[in-house]
Amino acid sequence: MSQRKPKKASKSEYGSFDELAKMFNDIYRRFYQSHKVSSEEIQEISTRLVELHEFERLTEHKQYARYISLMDGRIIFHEIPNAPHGQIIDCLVFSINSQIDRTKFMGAVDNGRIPQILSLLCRLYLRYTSHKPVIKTT
Amino acid sequence: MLEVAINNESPRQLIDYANKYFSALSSVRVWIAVKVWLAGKKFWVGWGERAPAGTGVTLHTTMAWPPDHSDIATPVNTVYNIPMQLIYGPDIQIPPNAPPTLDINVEEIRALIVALLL
Repeated sequence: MSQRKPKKASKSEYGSFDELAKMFNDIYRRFYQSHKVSSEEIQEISTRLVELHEFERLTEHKQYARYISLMDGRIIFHEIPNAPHGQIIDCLVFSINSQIDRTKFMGAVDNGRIPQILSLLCRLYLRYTSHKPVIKTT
Repeated sequence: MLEVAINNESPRQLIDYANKYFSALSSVRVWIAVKVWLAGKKFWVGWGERAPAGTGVTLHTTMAWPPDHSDIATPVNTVYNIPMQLIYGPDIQIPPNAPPTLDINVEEIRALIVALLL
């Protein structure tokens, strides 16, 4: 998302990995429990430049890893989606899949995978609704 | 690009993100967004394409932002018809049996939200 120019990391900006891991795990624990990260915590974690291999170690086996990104060397905690986020996405994906050539497009969500099992609710709704709305295009 | 925001992301943030999706470094062609406000039971659906200048979004919607956003209990007879040429792009041949537009039925989305929330 960010279009900042990547800042070149200097060694002086790194503490030890253990220090980084301790800070990250403290913030992650609060993120996991409250689904929020304070502005102070964002500031704290943003002062560190993190390399990809370190990021992978930090987020490995973490349930909410999909909501944490590494961007320009900085760790970013995203907002946790609220229900019915997944159901609406699934419905849109099902609707769009039925209209485009799937041999030319590949779906991807979050870490690059897309669910193969579509929701029954969405399938049934699209199959059995027969209303003809007024078509508008803007 | 599909974006669904349930409470998260203000209208300004959504548009800001859309502008960034259509950056010079991306190949995003179409952005389709659904925004739901749980407390007020309101919703918004729109779509966007790359602006003529090459970056940023050109937004298409018949729905209003707060404070005039749509109640999820009120049916919306709107279907957005996004040209398939826009979806496939200039370098990909559109299959001969493809419909001329990608249709996003706002009423179907609204009814799904109602079924899940009310």
